[in-house]
Amino acid sequence: MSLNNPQLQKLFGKTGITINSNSVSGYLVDNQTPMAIIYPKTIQELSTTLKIASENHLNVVPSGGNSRMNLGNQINAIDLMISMSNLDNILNHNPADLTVRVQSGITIEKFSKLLSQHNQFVPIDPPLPNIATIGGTLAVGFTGPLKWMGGNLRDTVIGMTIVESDGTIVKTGGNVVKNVTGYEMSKLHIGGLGTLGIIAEVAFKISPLPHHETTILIPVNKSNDLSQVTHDIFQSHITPLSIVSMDVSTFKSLKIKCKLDSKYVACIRLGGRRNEVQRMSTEIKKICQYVDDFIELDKSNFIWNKIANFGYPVSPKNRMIIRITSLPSKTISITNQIRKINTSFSPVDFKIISDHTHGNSIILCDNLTTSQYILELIKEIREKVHQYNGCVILESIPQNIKSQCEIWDANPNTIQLMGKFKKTYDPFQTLNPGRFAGRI
Amino acid sequence: MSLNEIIYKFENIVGSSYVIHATEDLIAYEYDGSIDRSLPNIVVIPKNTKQISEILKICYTNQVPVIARGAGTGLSGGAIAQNGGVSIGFSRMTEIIEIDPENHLAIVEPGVINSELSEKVSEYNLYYAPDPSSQQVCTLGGNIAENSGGLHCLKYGVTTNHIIGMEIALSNGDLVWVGDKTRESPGYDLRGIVIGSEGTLALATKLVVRLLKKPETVKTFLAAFKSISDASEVVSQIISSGIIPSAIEMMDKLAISAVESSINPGYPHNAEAILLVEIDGLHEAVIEESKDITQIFKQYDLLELREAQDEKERINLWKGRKGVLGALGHLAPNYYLVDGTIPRTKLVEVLEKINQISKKIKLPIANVLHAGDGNLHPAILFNERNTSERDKALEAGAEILKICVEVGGVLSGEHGIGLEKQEYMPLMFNQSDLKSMSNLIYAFDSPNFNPNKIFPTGKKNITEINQSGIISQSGSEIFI
Repeated sequence: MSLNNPQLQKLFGKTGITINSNSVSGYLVDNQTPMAIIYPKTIQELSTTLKIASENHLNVVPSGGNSRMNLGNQINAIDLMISMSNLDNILNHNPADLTVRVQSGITIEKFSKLLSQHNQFVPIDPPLPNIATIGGTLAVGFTGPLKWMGGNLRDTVIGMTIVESDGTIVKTGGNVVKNVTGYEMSKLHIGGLGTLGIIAEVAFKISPLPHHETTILIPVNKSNDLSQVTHDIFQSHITPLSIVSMDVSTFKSLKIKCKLDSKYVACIRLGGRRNEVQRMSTEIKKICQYVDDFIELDKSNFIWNKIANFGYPVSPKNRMIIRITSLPSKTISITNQIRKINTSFSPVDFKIISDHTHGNSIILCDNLTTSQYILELIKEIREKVHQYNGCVILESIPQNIKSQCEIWDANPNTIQLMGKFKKTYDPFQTLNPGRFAGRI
Repeated sequence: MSLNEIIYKFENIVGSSYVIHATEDLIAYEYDGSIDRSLPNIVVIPKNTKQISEILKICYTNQVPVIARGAGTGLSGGAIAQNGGVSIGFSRMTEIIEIDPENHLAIVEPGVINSELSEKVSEYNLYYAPDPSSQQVCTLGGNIAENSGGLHCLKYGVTTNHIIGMEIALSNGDLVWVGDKTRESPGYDLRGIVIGSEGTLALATKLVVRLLKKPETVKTFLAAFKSISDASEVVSQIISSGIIPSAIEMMDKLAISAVESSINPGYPHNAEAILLVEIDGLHEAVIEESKDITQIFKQYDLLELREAQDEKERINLWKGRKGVLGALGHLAPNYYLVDGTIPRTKLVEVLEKINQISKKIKLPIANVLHAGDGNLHPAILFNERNTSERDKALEAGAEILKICVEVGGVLSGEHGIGLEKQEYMPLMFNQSDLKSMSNLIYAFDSPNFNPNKIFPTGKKNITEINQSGIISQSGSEIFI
């Protein structure tokens, strides 16, 4: 940092950009407080802010709704936080074209509400949709269990405007659904945690909302049955919007008003035409002939909201959220192995929700005690996951152990290559320095 | 290192049978699906990743241009060695390494033919969704270079949506995995960057592909219209009604007459336009969607509405569409094929403008569209020997592309930029956008990979571009 606060005020004072350096204490990133928070109202202001920051070698944290600010390696330094909250407009929604372009500071809730008025949606269901933004969610790169045609979050983006670390405004893609004009630069920024540029605008391809939705809860008592149920549904003709499973203590922790006497439950979200959903429901019951009882819920959004919010907000502070990615067929084996972990300190109370369409699991551990205990636990989890060729992302861990952990599992060769991208697009380490995989 | 020394080194790596350097033998590698021609200095055909890595090390050290080559069906000059160099052919890397039906995945080498993968996984009731019209001959590696789509990408997406991981070879021969078998691998999505980069950043050496379950039911409709604007309106109506068919293809009268006089799939001769609409999925959904689509069709004064009664009839309906470019040879010696995408709601407006252009230049334009995606393929028919016709065709093509961009569309929906449209890039992107893109070449350290493509050279004025890359002589080996 080469400037003090009065100098900073002076620099931004000339630009007319809103800067707040009075109430910054609530905006901690890795226990560090920014000197000021900047609120650009236009892309041009965002560009000017980054230009000033890079010219003065200031370190910048881009901020959406701050709902997942815990994600990332220990940041090297922070001078400014750029809040995207004033860039939250819908720029162009063309329902008949099934495309929409928005500023990235729009919350998921506002965005989804707009689309649902036209019976449309984008499959994007991060935790805390009332505060999580489009830009933040894309920068993190993963969302909840809602899947559309088995695709990923990145499959929904058709164009972007990005402001690079030196303030250059760059456009990529377009507003049409099929496009091979030039490199697809947006891919660098989806899951890039704002380390190569700040996402300013996003164009999405949108999908029609299913006419009808229903959720089937399948209670089972044996882990093998759970494995069979999720496997058989994944392999069948039907394509659910979500297939997740959990043990009953995790289910109870979601505070869903639904009585379950079993040890585990699979939750299947079905969407489509009414007859189609009925058929899917019948198919599931046929597939799961060995299951005694099903619970079918027509109005089930509340369940999926709770599942998407699992672990969030991250409170109390001694909570840890770990994300595992693996092959769908290995999910149950991995979670079974993890449940068996007993550290030398004490047994662990895991809450785990597994997504069987993409093979992800979210592990929640509360009541963590010493740093040594947490580190041992992480090591054990990584060992178990790696046995099945899975990957671990420490989505949220207590601050005091951050400097001793690498948040992302990533291949050293790939990290080396990614480092070249950081060097190319953010040569002065302006954006989120040190926070990304490999401490890039 | 001299050319002969490089040849010697390559022969040591792959064996002399797989290093081609005599001019008469190189001729087979001087072209792709466009009409551009340029001889590489050497063609080398490796058998495995290790050999590719060794070849690339030599090219990197000697700063030799490297041009990857799949089946050579690309339409934008992507596989043309316009500055000479080493063409790496993938025709021996055709192994399907692993099929994992449980996780709906396969790991394959890049030389595997697109349709062969679907055939191989068919026994598991799975298939590979992107289906470019050239799928019987094109390779998956080539599909990655161009981010290929296909007739059914309206519902299922294009190549980038179906490749979840790749082993790539960097220009210096290093091998790196980008993405893997899991759906959400950590780090920057370099997989997504390499797909569609037209061989300019890295070469894919192993692919992890996502496979889909075969749909339970498929229905295909042919609707024949009295006007092309009615057909265009129906496309918008279907999409905005909340139905996403797996395909909506359109052909105009000229295109219909071409296929009827050669392939004869039974399209109505008197139609101004036809739509081929396919829906698939669970039986119940397909039945309901069929009813809704039929209702939309019935709002128009159709000449004919036909539903394929069996698989044979369905294949026949598609046969006409898939063979349309080859059939254009019955109408004119040459065509200039334009590829652009527009917002779907602009179809009526843009097709009318294309019609006006056709009248203005007094040359027929046959329209073939992936209408559901808004992806246009106007083919301007002319005789290359008539210089005036050729110039008019070129000007008309440029005008159509400008119209696409003006209405909010893009320069290429599926053929890529390559040599063909590099000078048009400033229509869509400013200097900052282009610089940000070209920085990827520095990040990948790949200036010798397929050099001087995609980006404008700045040497030519758009109206004076030599667009031989997009002018094709009509023939049966071209697909859109």
